[in-house]
Formats: sequence, C-alpha cells, structure tokens
Amino acid sequence: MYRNLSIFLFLLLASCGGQATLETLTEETITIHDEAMANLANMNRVKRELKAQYGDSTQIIQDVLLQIKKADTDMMAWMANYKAPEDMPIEDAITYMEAQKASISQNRDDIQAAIDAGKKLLKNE
Amino acid sequence: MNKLFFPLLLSILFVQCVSEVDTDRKLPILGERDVVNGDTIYPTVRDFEFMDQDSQLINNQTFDGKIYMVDFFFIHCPTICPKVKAQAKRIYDKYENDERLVLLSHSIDVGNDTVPALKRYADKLGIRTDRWHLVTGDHDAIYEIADDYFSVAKEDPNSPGGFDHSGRLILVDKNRHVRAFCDGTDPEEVTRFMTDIDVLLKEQFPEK
Repeated sequence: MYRNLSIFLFLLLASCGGQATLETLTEETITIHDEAMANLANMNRVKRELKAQYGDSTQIIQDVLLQIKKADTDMMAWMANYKAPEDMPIEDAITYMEAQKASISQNRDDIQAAIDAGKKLLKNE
Repeated sequence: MNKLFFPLLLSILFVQCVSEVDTDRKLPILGERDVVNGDTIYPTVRDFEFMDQDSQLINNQTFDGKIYMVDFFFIHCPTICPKVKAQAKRIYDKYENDERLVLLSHSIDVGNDTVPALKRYADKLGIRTDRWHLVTGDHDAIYEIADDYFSVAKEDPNSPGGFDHSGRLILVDKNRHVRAFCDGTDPEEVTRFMTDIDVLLKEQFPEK
C-alpha cells in the first residue's frame, strides 16, 4: 500500500512540476511574441522609408525588402498556427511549447536583423 | 427612515452633479498642432481606401457626418486581440442603434485576413457591416495610417509613435481629428472611453 501511495505522490509531484514548466514556457513565449510584435511597426516603418528613398532600384535594397517581408510573413504564420496546448498530455505540451518558443525567438531575431539591415542602408544614403 | 433619507438624497444629487459635469466637459483635439498664418492646424486622419468584410470600398467619405472608433487587429492573435475585440463588442452593443457612431477595425495581417476570412469573423462576432467595418487593404497603407493614429494616441507625447500591439481604441470626430483613446484590454478604461464617446456625441450632435 505504501508503495502505491509513493508512486501516486511521485506522479502527482511530477505532474505539478510539469505544469509549472509549461506555464513558465508559455509565459516566456508570449512575452517574446509581444516584444517582436512591438518591433513589427518599426520594421515596417524602415521598409516604407527604404521604398520611399530607393524604390526597389538595386539588388541590395530588394534583398532587404525581401528580408523584411519574410520576417513579417513568418510572424503572421506563427500567430495563425499557434494554439495554446490545452488538450495535450503535459509532456507533449512542453515539447510543443519549446518548439513554439524557439520559433518565435527566431522570428524576433529576424525582425531585429531586418530592421538593422534596413537602417544601415538608410544611413548610407 | 429620516436617517436614511438625507444621505440617499445627497448621494443622488452628487451622482447627478458628477454626470452633468462629465458630459459638459469637452474632449481635447490630440496631437501636435501647427499655427499657420494665425490659424491653428490640428493633425487630421489622412485619406484612405480599404475593403470591408462585404467587399465594400471604405474610405473617409464612409464616415462623413459621423464619429468613429478605430482599432488594429488580426484574427489569429494569441494574446491581446481577443480581449480588445470583447471590449469593442461592448461598445458595438451599446451603440448598435446609434448611427452617429461607426466602428472601424483594420486587420494588419493582410495575407491571412482576406475578405472571406473577415466575413466569417464578423459573422462569429454577430455584427452588422454598416455599423462595424472590418477592413483589409494594402499592407503599407495600413501600417502608415496606424502610425498616424498611434503617433497621436499616446500617453507620452515624446515617445515614438507607432503600432505597438497595445490594443488601443481610438476615437475620431467628424472633422477627422483624434479626440480620445484607451487601452482596449482594460474593461474599466473602456467604460471611461464610452463616457468620452458620449461627450463627443453631445458636442458634435447638439440637440436642437
């Protein structure tokens, strides 16, 4: 009987720990998403400035405009595909959220990289 | 009974007095103003042309003689938009039969939020197109007009403007001036914002 109780307690604690990990992961992922979203307007402002000043006259401008478009599209795709893992077993949910966090972190970095690339070209005016 | 009568009377008079003061106030015109040849020029909403959930062309003329509420959203939004849409629906429900106010929501996800997608979303919300336009259009034009609105609708006049995923609701008057805004995720702020709408309605549609 003690053995069964021990197993039950172990599973209960493991489950609580998993839930806490999932909540932290979800919170971190949404925070990264909100940061990236806040930067989206900056990126699109850089895009408009580039187009206003240069059109798509050179390959390097076209490349940066493409980089901006990809970062924007990736963000929209991430949001369209993201679903809070409410009905998944805890371990699957953690794996899913780890992948989502990695994906949105990459997107946040891509947005910043696109802004930096655009601003560099604007500085070289 | 006497003990209760006077406190009750005072409370009623106080509430009456506060609400009178509230609706007598005037909303400021927001944004940096210029003075040209002695005339004060206020920032105005630029010309725009978008398409709503019924494939109708929506432009400045759509709002002639009306005040309107503006926001920016996207259907697949995991955080702020559902909260904002719930609050905007409160505004819609309150003013659904008041044709002096119209709602205008711009999708910033032009790739996914197509006209049919907006239509499905509108049906899910249970809204009438003539009272609440959900629009899409040219990507840059939407971001440009968002920058216009948000450069005016901000707490700190020195902070850089721009769409910041804040879920802000913005109130525009008949003359294309931004007059008020609120955090659309906060039910209490939205309640205050609805008082601002009443104040603007009273100013722009005086009873004769």
